[in-house]
Amino acid sequence: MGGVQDYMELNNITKNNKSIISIIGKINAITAPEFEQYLKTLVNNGILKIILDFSKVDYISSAGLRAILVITKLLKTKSGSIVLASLKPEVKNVFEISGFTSIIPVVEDIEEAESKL
Amino acid sequence: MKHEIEITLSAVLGNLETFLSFIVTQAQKAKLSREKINKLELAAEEALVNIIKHAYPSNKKDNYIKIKCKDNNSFVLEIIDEGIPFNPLNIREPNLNFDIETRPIGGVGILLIKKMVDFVEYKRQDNNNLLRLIMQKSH
Repeated sequence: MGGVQDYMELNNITKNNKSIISIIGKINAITAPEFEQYLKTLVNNGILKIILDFSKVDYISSAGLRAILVITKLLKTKSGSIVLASLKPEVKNVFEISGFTSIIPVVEDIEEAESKL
Repeated sequence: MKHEIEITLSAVLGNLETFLSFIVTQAQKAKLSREKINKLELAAEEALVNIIKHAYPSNKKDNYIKIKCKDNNSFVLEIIDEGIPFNPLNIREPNLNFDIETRPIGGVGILLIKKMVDFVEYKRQDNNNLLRLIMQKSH
């Protein structure tokens, strides 16, 4: 049986107090809890500037959006910030439909994200 | 040529991947475009997660979801559960103008169901909720 694998990989590069998180795969109801916990741990360990690199993300559902919203609110309480970069068209579409692009900064690429933080 | 196939599994998160794999496989067999398959998968996930989380509040042991895929001129996905009456199309869409402090998190899933598929219908039938998601095959 083909097609769907709940696969997600998270990689982190921290430089100049900014973390760039590269996400590979799908953020759905199965993988979103791990995604949220990973980011929560980073924030609670003092990383307050986060760039999410979406260039290798094919799919995000409301569970993923919810996780991002939770982390965005958490960062705000600590005067931190988050930027989303390199969204594929189908993923950007989901953010736009949900109204998230008006509350969370979305930029074209990592360079632009770094200049924003 | 009409082709119909179904599966029934417990309404638990652990079965979500199986449900979605089934739907994606059937949609591929029906030669739905990749873009439409991705959209259908997202709508199906939102609908299924809603049912898994909310349809069976009493935690009965035998809570099931039945999925039917029908392939003719369009691809029809039916999601059937025996849970409490729930029509996702009646839920008020979230106010997208709230800012970050006041934004509610709920409601986005239902909005995505409506926006991802070509047609969506709901029926309450024989003590079941029946949600029908339809994708046209023409393009």
